Amino acid sequence: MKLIKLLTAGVFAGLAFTAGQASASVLDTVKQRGTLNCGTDNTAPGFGYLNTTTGQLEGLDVDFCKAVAAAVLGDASKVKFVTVTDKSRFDAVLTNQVDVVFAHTTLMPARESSIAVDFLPINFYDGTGIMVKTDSGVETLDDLDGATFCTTQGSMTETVLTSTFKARGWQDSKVLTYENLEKLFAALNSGRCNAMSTDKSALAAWAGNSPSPSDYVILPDTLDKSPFGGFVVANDSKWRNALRWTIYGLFQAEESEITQANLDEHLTSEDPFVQRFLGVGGGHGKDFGLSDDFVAQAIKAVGNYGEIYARNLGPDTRMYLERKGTPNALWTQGGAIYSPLWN
Amino acid sequence: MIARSLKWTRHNLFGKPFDVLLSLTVIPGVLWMVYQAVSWALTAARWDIIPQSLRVLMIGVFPADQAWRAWIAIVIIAILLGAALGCVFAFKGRHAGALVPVWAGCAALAGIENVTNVLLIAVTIAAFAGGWAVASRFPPVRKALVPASFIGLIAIFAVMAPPGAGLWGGLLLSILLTLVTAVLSLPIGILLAFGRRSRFSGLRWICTGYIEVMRSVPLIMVVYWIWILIPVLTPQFNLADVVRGMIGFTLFYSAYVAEYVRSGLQAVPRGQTEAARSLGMSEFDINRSIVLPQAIRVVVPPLVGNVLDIFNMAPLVFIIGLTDFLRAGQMILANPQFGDRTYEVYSFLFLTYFLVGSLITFVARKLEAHLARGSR
Repeated sequence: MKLIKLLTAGVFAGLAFTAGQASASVLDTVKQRGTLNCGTDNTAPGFGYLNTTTGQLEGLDVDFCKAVAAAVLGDASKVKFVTVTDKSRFDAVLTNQVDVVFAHTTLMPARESSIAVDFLPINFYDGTGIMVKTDSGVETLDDLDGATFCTTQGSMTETVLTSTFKARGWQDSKVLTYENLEKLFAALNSGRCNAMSTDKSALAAWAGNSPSPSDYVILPDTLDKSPFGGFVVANDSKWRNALRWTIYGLFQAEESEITQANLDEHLTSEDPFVQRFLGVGGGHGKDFGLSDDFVAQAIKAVGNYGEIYARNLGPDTRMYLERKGTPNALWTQGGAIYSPLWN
Repeated sequence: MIARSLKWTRHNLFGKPFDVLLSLTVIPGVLWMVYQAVSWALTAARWDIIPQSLRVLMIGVFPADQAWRAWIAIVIIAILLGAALGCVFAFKGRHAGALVPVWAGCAALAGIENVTNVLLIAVTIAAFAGGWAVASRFPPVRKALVPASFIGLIAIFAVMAPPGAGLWGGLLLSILLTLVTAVLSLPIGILLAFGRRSRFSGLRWICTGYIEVMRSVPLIMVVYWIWILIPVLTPQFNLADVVRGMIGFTLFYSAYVAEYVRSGLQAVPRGQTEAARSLGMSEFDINRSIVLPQAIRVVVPPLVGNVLDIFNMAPLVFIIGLTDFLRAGQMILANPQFGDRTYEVYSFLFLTYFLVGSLITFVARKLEAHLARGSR
């Protein structure tokens, strides 16, 4: 027994020792290594998936990886995608196998308090959504008074729906539950349900995967919150700040209408705010340990937030998720995509 | 012919009242399921996704312009597998004839219009037949098989490594993982088995403890622990995920191999060791030349079954972010463009696993019959 205790103590002492050694910021490690190890999922439609024709990963999370690589290393191709799963993503960061993870991860207090990670700004607001068939003529949630809502068994959605009914005083609306999403989707198609309810990104994937996506409408209403954000190892503010402001930069670029296409015009702009934002003749980058033009590099690689959204979840994609009227819109349009002041 | 089959049917399917009942319920059900499956496969299914995504299924996200590296690895694997087969079965003309339809099938799947691939498949199958023929014609080659497989695996690592081990994937990764685990777990397992029978109690305790611990925890836990422990213990080496996965699998399956080998060691009659001892042979020589060869003979069939087990467990490496064959299929389905092809992709995965699995089972059964010849 004593021996076991001694051994355990020894192992933990060893772990603490090695953990103590790795005190340099991830930012310095990444710059020294010359590549960014970015953790993404490769089986998440719209967020991280393989384009089989080009053999490249695509998706919202993938674009954020590229933006970070461009901002930190000046080259979006210097990113190495490391596949992480729902189970391994936190350990991958904690053991320094990846520098940052963008893998549709929901921000929760327990994840920041008990797992030693720090979250980056929210880059997508998921949440419970409602999908109806286009030919039902339903346009807003209010049209669904008295309708039958369907969701999966044992999910939080059921509670969310019943409390919505209560809040709106709907007496005749009821909830039906199904074993899995496949049966749920079939029930919507057969007319047993007027509306299907689950996470918005999942709704978009089901509509997009159907033979004719235009048969379905996802209502703009979002019933509860599930914000996604990237995360990095805890207590490395140098690295976290560099990444936070890269992401804010993409938000601000959309607000200032700087796109991949018109970036070059803006680089010659006379506006002192734009000059400073893009790092023409000195900017904010130095303070973060980055080059001054880090935002410009990120925009050049993947475009502003609006362009990233449109590329992966916009109307031209099969994963179409309406942006207007949701938290994913810019704050100037009533959404929650907001960058602090760049001054 | 008809009379015979009628007789067979009556005898086997409608012999007793219970048989009649069973046949009447099961046979129409099975026929209906087969009919449904075949009619779906021929009419409703859109199979174009399989040739389109075949590269991803086979080698994952390994870059297309580096595919020649994967081909070299495949050819080396084919030679090794052929030579292993040749140790037991003589290569005959009809075998060569049977390989031609295999080539045609693979070529049809890969797309006939792609001449390079058709040729490369032919080279792979020729390498397999060559390894088989050489090993069966020239017995001395067989002795070199174990060192040759080590060299072959090292060569595969050397060829495949430059684009980055993180890019390995698909069926090739599953097969490589299986081969590396099978080859490495054998010597470790043999040592552990002898260790467990050792006269030195310290060694015996360590080996028994290791085997029992590994056999009482799930594989997925061993793989995951190795994956997170190695970077913490050795932060200066950046060991690739795939190597850590292989280490986890090898450590785990060594324990199982050890138990198989131990059962073989126990099957060797006591008189054999006593006779050897009375001839004045040393303990090491007795184990090496008398006990082990007879033990291995007994345990080869279960060891081949163990290889099948490893292959079927390979999809568990998804937990550490590796894209094995199954995960590659799921990765294709995650592309919104292909999301509605679930049944096609999973049918292909099922058929491939089924083919590989039944092939290994078939070889194991033949091997058993072949090795049993001596003891009849």
